[in-house]
Amino acid sequence: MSAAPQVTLESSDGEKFKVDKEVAERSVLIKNMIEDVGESDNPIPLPNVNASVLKKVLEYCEHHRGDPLPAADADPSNDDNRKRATEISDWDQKFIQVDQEMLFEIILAANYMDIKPLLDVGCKTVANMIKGKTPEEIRKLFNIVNDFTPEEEAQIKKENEWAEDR
Amino acid sequence: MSIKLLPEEIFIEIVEILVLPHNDQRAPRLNTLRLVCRRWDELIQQTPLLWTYIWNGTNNSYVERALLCSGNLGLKVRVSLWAKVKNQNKKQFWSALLPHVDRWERAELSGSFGGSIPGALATTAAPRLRSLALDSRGSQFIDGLFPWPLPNLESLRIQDFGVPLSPQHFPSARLKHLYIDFNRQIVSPTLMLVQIFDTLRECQELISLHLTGMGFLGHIPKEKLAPINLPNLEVISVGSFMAPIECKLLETIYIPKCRMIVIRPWYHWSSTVDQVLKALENLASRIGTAKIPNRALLEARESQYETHLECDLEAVEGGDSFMYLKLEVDAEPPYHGLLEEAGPFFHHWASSFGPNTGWDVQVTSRALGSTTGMLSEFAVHFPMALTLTITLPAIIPFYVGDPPLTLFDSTGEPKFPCLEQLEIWYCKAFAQGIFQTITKRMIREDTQSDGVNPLSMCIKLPRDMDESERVELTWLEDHLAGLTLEGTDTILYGL
Repeated sequence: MSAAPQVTLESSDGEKFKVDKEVAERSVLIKNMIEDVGESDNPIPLPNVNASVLKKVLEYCEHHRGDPLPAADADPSNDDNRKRATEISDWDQKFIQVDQEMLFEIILAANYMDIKPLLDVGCKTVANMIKGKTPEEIRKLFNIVNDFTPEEEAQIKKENEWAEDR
Repeated sequence: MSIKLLPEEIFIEIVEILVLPHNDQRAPRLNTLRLVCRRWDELIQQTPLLWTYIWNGTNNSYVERALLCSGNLGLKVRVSLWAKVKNQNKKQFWSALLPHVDRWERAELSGSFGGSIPGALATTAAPRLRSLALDSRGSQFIDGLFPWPLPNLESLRIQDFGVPLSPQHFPSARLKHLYIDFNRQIVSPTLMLVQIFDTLRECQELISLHLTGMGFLGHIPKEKLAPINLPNLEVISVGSFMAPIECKLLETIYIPKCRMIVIRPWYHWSSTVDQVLKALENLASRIGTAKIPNRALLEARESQYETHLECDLEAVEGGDSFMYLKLEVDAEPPYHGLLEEAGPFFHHWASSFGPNTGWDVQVTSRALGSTTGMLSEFAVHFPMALTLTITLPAIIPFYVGDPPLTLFDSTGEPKFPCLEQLEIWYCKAFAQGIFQTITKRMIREDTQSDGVNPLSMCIKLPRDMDESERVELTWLEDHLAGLTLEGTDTILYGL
């Protein structure tokens, strides 16, 4: 039995990762590049992803290598349903338990490499972090400076009084 | 790297997840998020998409603002008229929303919709509405909602909602997904079988069809009915109503592209199994199993009431011949009755999917005797099982002296020689069998004796298991590939 075909990916800081083609093709970006360029021994450059993040992303792709790829669905309710399901599987939760900087790096990498399920996991994780928090707590969580003038803040708070949407 | 550097589209995606009306009380208000900083405020205000979710648990002023801020985008409307929903001024809410029905893209309406609302909707075209869910939970019969002009509706979900299914008034033209669940008693005319059949004949684009419930009654014609041709149907799920109705439906539909059938009957097994079997045989000849990768799922459940033997036959996705078998017993024996009666039936099904049919077996029981007994029976009927799942065994071990679980017969041969995956809950009564299985695996790994696939084994651990046994298993996990332990919060022994 012949070995599974492999490809080499090169991170922004020059580290090379040899992985099964099936694993790398969880990324739509890489899949398209391979289709466009054809089989090649040359490494595929990923100038927007450093080695530590790429390693993490590939760990995700390896774990989910057999999963069905997301496809356009005829049922219009599915996209909303997918977003509504804010729960994250046990493995994904453990995988995404990283510091904030790495979390956002993974989200950016998933976006750049076009790995929709990983982007979903990242976005849902951030959403879950925000849930149940006041504006001040959210600012503190993400180290955001309140740049409203007191008047502006008062105005929005006033709108919030009538705009009770939950 | 911080959240401030995320691209706008990702930030909006995160906010969209938060503002979806998913009933999570911890999710913040849109205006709470606006208060975080100027950038968030500007992005939220400039993004009409974030204002397209409207539900009646909101302040009416918010509804008006959302209708304005969302521009001309399609609206996702959720109206729940249960008592707990906050909005008290329903009249004002509907006054704001009804002029925008032409923008509705998706709607979920639940609760008691009396008064003038159904009539008002029925006279207002909703050309953008693609998905509609109705749920009255049996509270009130509604007439007058259909004919609602919904020329582009693709998905319709009706739950305990007394909508007359008149073919002339039904939004069938582009319907791809139809889900009707009539499990509750409703004080209304029941949905007549022939009426449903006539309606289905109009739904030529259906991809999935789900019919469940006891509300489907009426005269069942004995004569053969004109066929219902559903050329694009891929998934059909029927269940929980009378066997003759299921049989009549299964005898009448032609579904050449079908890849999954789910049947959940609820009736006396022995008295009706022949009918269902006949209908399924007939159906099997019409779904072209040779063309489509097959997967068959069967699920059987024996309830504590002997006279109400439930059997769920779940799904056929043909082809590469894989059978999933789930047997669930809620009480003590007799479990044999089910297996003796169902065994030949299962085999019959299996044989229709080719000689290489693989099997998943799942055993669920609250009693040791049932679990071990079922395993023995399974080993007789289904020795070719590839995966075996034994869930939550023996929460209440009724009888002292229940037979210990073992996966080997008296000569030491495995009962399931083809087994590739085993998932099992640990309990003391099963310990002997579990350790025996692990030992045999270690011997097999050491000797590398055969071409048999290695066994992957997962053991779920109750929180209150003996520490010494936990240590022993942990040690084994460290030394054996393919063995994983999963801690759980479940207490088995302290009950």
